[in-house]
Amino acid sequence: MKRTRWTLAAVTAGLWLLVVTNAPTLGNAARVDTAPSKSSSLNPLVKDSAAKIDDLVKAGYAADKIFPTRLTTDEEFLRRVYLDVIGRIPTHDEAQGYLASKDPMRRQKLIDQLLDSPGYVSHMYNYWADQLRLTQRIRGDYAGEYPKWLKEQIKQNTPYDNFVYLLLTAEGKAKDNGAVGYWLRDNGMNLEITSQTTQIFLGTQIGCAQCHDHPFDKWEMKEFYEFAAFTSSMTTRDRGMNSPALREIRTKQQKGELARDVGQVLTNLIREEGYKVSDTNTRGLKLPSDYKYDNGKPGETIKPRVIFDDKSKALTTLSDREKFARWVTSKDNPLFAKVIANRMWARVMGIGIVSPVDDFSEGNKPSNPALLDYLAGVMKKVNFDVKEYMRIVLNTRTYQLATGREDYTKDNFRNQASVLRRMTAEQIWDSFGTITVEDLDERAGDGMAYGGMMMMSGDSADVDITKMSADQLVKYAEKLIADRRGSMRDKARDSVSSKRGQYLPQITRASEIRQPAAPGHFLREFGSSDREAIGNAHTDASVPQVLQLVNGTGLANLVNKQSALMKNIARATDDKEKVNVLFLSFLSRYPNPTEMGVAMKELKDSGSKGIENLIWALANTREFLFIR
Amino acid sequence: MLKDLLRQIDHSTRRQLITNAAKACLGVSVIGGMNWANSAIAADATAAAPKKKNAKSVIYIFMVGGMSHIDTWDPKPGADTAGDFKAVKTNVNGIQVSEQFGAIGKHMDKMCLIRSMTSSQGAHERAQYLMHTSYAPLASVKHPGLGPWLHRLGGRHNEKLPGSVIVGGHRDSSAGVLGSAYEPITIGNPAAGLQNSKLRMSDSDFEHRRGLLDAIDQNFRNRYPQDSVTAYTRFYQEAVDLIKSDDVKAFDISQESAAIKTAYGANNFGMGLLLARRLVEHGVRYVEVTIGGWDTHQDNFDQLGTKLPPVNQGIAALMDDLYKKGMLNDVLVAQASDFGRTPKINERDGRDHYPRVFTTMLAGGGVKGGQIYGASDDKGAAVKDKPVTPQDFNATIAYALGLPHDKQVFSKIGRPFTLADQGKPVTAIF
Repeated sequence: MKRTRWTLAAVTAGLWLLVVTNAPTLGNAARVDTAPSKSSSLNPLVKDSAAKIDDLVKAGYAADKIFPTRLTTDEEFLRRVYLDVIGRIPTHDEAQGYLASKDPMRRQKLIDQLLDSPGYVSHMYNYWADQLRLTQRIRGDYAGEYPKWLKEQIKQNTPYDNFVYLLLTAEGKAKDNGAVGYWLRDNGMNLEITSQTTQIFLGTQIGCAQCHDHPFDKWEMKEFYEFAAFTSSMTTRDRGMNSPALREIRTKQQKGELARDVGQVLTNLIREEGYKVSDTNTRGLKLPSDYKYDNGKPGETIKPRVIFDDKSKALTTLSDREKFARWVTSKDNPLFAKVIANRMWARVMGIGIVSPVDDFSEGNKPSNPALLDYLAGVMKKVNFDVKEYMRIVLNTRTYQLATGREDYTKDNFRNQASVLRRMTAEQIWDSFGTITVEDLDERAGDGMAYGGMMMMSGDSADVDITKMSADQLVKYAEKLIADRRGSMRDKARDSVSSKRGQYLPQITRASEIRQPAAPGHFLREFGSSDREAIGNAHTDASVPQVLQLVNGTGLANLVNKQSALMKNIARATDDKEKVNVLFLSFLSRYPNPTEMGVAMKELKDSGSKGIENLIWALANTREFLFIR
Repeated sequence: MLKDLLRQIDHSTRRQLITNAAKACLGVSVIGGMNWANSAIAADATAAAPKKKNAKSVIYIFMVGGMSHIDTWDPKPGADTAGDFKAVKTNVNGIQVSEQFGAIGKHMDKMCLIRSMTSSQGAHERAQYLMHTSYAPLASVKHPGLGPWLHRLGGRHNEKLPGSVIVGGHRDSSAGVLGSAYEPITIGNPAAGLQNSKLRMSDSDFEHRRGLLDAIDQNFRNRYPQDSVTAYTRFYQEAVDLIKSDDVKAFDISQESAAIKTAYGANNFGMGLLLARRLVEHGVRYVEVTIGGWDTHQDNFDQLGTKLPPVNQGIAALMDDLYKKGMLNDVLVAQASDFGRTPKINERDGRDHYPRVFTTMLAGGGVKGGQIYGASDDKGAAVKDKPVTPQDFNATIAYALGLPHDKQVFSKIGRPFTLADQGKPVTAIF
């Protein structure tokens, strides 16, 4: 697993533990700001909660003789908050506009604006897609509406407890309810889904107890089975799905009597019809035949029971899965609110109060228990409105402090300021996209990327192929194929011909690309998750990444005359302005005098190649790759 | 062998040696490297009885989708399950293979067929996962593939090149719990080689740009001396060294003669094998070459009729090439698939999934050639003798390299894993 890797950091970290984190600033040192969240127009809940968080953070590090860093400059804050909230750097114009603002409320306003922008959905989606191991192909060729459903929940800001409840109780077919993707992802592996659910939503890793009593934690194998029994009635197969017409289609296909594409469409339709999540399995969950402990017999049927704080007995009228979901998402659950509060804190601070964020256990204590308790309380107070919670965290002074020079680990980190982080693979991809195309956030991916037929039949969820004759099925498939051709033609026309001669390759947000990307893809090289294990994304350096930056094809897009960057450069009236455009576009800041000197000299010495040389250099800076 | 070296030298030198090796290598984060160093020190000699000489590298050929055993390595002439292909003699008395593998058969004296493979998994995803990792899939953990394992246990022969390379790509070969330091590099198109390893600018432009980069980035690097930043600074140097080094040529099959390319076959599979040979020649420990299209539920014989000839040609050429270059002692060639296919031919003239018995091949690397290990029954329907599991197969590969298949490595949460789970090496074939 590649969640957090601080091993070497841990070795050197000791040296830094008590060092005061006050380092000289970079770039425009002059623009250090006044404190942000003291304005009266901030909503009182946000203002008071943010202040209380700051107090608790201070109390947490006071004992360790840690002193807070200075406040971020506007330039530092701007870039960090864009990346943390919408997953990309600001555009040239956004950076220029913000840095020119004199509005004392500009930070709060920017936070509000970003939280309500489409980029918020994209960035949050990438996070959950990694946690949920979301792939756009489920069970071989089977494709679901799951990704679309997930984006929609984030867009609507569905309260987190409700979101999890919808996932855990999802039933029906994927075309009607994308949330069933949660169960289809690990089709038929109910025990696995149990350990995954516990890890993601309760931050507790009980997977070991699936095969034996947990060696380091308190969980027994029998407890695991009792817990898993809540989902034992869940099945994904729709066994009533076998009409004579469908059988006829299969025979025709085997005899080669159907056109290839028609056959393919029908195969997918039949397959997607064959999956339906329901609670109709009556076999129950039995202990395995080699069960070796005294508290149960091999083959014994197990009754559902939760692993801690059992209040589920009271809910007698609900199905087992509903009881389970109620208990998981309850405000009384001792971990549910804490885990999401800690996750969202870790996302913007760099390290969780409990770290790794999905390992709440006896041996892994929170670095500041009072802070974690308070944040969990805030999460409950806002009724699991994650956006509102983020608004509070982003408005803390703690979040807005400058990052230090230390190699923080969970052992020396006292939540004193956001830590230096390499961008995620998606943030790097989306940031290059921001510099390259002007309308990145409005660009939808190829709809077909979601996996084919489901999207095509998506408009007609009421169509029931089990009631069609074989002829009707073939006609239906032909219509779907024609529709798809039509829509692809439209798309091609929209994206190319209206801007004839101005074509840039189809660059979209990473969240709009079919995932997981193939091995060797830019995103994968930079550590995007293979979606095989929970939280499998990483931000480690590698040589192939460097080769991408040094020699990759991305540079050709950046220097394309139609790129957002080159258009902005073309508008600049002199070399100095061009250099400002370059620095604002890549680093969201103005150059310092030394940098201006170097760049001006380059433009003078290298003529027309100077711009391209500077673009290459800026794209290859560490500063570009990191969030400070 | 690195491991033998490690036993001889003292603790601190050992640690330094490994750390330096790890740091210098492709795809290795320093942090991961340190991890590795620490656990390598803890490595104990749990391997099975030592052999005289260990192989250095593995070329692992994987048929994605389940290759029929009866139509390739384990023909059943006369049986009602025999199918369309005849059995032909090989250059070893008493061993026959399918006529589709006639060219390979001329190298049977270098090969060992394990005709008693048996797997518990009959679905593609789970079967491929088991073959690659020795474990059944779990949602919460990704077990490491064979390449990352061998890299982890044995380190690298060439510090400039990656520990493992996957030609064609296979998700189950990823490093999983071992961490990104052991992640294989994937080559999609063998003819194109390593992505972005050729400069798109002149050397002088490159140096000029690096100068600019240095000037612009200096402030940031001084301001943030964190390991995550310095790792990049170091990898820039590594990448530049690689671009300029001769070792990068290991990825470039255009350096090979037209004659040898023709011998391997001008297709992705043939070129993949040729690239694999170049890579192991340059010290890459594990190269996997994958080829898909084996899920022959219908028209099995028509499909195999076009599928098998390039495989026959490619593997024969690889054997010939390794032999002539004197590399067969150092390189273990392995061939495997998800599972076999049903002896019974279905009404669509196809064969379905069959994990109960199938065949894998091992050659070189100390394995005695010209032998058959284990057997299937007369119809190719069950193991008749000496069953070998995927875990045993993987343990055997580790054994050939003199690496401990049963050495425990722990995940972040302290969960132990081994290369071969409970598998035991088939030592009788060496």
